[in-house]
Amino acid sequence: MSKPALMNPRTARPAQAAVQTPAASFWEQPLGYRHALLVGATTLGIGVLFHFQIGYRTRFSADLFAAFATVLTLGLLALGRLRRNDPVVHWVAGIPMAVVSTAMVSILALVGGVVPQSELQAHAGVPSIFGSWPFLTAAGLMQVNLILSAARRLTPWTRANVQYLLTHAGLALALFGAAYGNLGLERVRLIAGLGQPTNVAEREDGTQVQLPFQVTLRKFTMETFPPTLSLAAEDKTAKDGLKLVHGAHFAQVGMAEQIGSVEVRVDRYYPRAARLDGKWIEVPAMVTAGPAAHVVATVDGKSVDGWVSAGSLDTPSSIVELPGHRAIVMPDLRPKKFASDLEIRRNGVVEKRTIEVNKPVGFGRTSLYQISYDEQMGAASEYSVLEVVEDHGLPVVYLGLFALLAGVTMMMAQGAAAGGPSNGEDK
Amino acid sequence: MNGIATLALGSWFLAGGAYAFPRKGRIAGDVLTILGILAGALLIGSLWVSLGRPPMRTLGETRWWYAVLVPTLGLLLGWRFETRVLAIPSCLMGAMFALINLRHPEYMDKTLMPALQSPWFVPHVVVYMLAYSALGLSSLVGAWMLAKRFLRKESVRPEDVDLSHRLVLVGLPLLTCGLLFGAFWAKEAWGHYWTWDPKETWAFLTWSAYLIYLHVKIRHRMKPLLNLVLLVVGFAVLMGCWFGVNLMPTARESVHTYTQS
Repeated sequence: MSKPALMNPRTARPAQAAVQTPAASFWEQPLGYRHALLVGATTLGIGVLFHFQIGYRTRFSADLFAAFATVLTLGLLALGRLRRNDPVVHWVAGIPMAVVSTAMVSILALVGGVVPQSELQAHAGVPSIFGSWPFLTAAGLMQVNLILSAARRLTPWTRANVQYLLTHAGLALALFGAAYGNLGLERVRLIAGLGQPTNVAEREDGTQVQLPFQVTLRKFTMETFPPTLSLAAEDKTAKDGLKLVHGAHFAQVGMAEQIGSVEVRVDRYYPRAARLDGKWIEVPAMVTAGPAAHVVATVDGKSVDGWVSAGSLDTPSSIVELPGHRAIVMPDLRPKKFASDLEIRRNGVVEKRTIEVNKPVGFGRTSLYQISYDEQMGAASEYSVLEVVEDHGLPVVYLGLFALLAGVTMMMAQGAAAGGPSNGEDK
Repeated sequence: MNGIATLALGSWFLAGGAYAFPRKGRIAGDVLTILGILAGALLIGSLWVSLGRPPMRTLGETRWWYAVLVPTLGLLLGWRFETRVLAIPSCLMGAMFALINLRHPEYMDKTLMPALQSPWFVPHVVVYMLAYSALGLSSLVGAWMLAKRFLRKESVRPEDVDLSHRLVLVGLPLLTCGLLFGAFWAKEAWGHYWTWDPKETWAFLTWSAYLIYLHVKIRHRMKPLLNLVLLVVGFAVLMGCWFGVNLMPTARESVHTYTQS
């Protein structure tokens, strides 16, 4: 029996140990939620750094932003198409990044939805969280995700891809338009006095602006709803220590209504009334006068009568007192409609337009909105408060929102049968 | 009108009881549900006529819409998805909201502030109520399954999770439409489509909660329990938008206070 051959030390290989690969580093692992969280946190950190270094928000040129954003968008679109299957592009455009970025924006929005702006200003020096750098950087990350994801689904033009593009690209477009519009947004208040031409408006911060057109209020009109009657009772637990039980019907002659435990009947009603020498008289020509009603209130079989009025500029209010610290009152009149007849002088041309709530007046990119009036004077208001808005981003915002609307309409039309727009298909 | 409301409440309550007997009670349950829906629709119609305006200004008025739409969707989607799981929860939810309104009647006057006198008023609110109904049903199914899981140790069936998900697929597009209609309306009324008003902020939070759920669901095979819990959480955010925002410190900064009676 021969001895086993000895190993040639020059060619022999050491005994093979069990193969062990070194643990993959964090960034070598498949990109997913943890990586997205890290990027998200870093983005947020950058926003916080900006806040402390630059301040709350610095005025930025809208056109410069548009140029930068356009270049970035085109770059992202090219990246999304040319490197569509690159793992990093896939991940930035993917659902983990979408979820993380949306969650970041939502958490900041939650703060804004719970903490009053005054407290944010007092404790963090942030007038509005929605204009703060952390919010803007988080929204920026979400925008990058939206654009890249849309770029990856530009082709082929399947129904699913079209629906996807309409929703995601639509939202991205709306966000771009909103950012551009907000940077150059002008929202100023103009107080148009009766017969007094003016082109001076005021921003929220109090600075005055000269508008390129002049506005004159020619006439202010207002309609109110007829008054109702209420039963007021002392209640220390209620707001202002008063509990109100409201009647449902407008006050008018012949009205009879059970308000709470009190039966109320109106036997006289003046749409415009004043009190003279202790007596109520009808004054139809007095525009500033308010209504008054003579009521008979019956409670527990006993009747009390008297005049009820919300009062006006010239006449104090009047109530009918009842036993048990209660009274029949007339709440303030509620506006039904108010409108302003305006004369707008622009480029030497005079236009007459009527403006009211929900019916703004526009010319070019400028819109005028009816906001309020002198509430003390009511129908006799001698001025009208208008808001002048110029938003250059609006067309882009609307394009994006309508695309989003079309996308969700497609989603509804498709129905829930398939279980989702991209069921089983990774983003 | 109290009589019609009581008829609706009673019909839905009895329908819920009838559905507890799957074979014998099914037809009776459907008939009672439809009776309740018709009574509820009649109530809303009567309110519309008597008030002279759409009855969707106050919380109480929107509760009536919800009370009617939840059993309606439960019935229609139950037929569509060929499932009886929605029957009892939808009827009981409709009955509950009707009961709340009957126990706490609200002052409903005829006035409607100028900002609400808009063609967008009805579409915006109705679409939102439909969305809330679908999403509410999805969470109700979720809560129902969770209760069965923890109280009766029954396992969560994949088809029930699938049903909850399908309801979200109905509700989320409607929620998006409601959000967009609100933006278009805000631009007409107040000059800007989005101002991060507290109500708008909470509407965004509701939308993003369900968006996050949908995206996670598309990407992953979510565990049934987690799926159902997320849906219940989503509905909690929705309730925050519908009712809770009026109670928050930011309420005083909101222009949406017209939803208070």
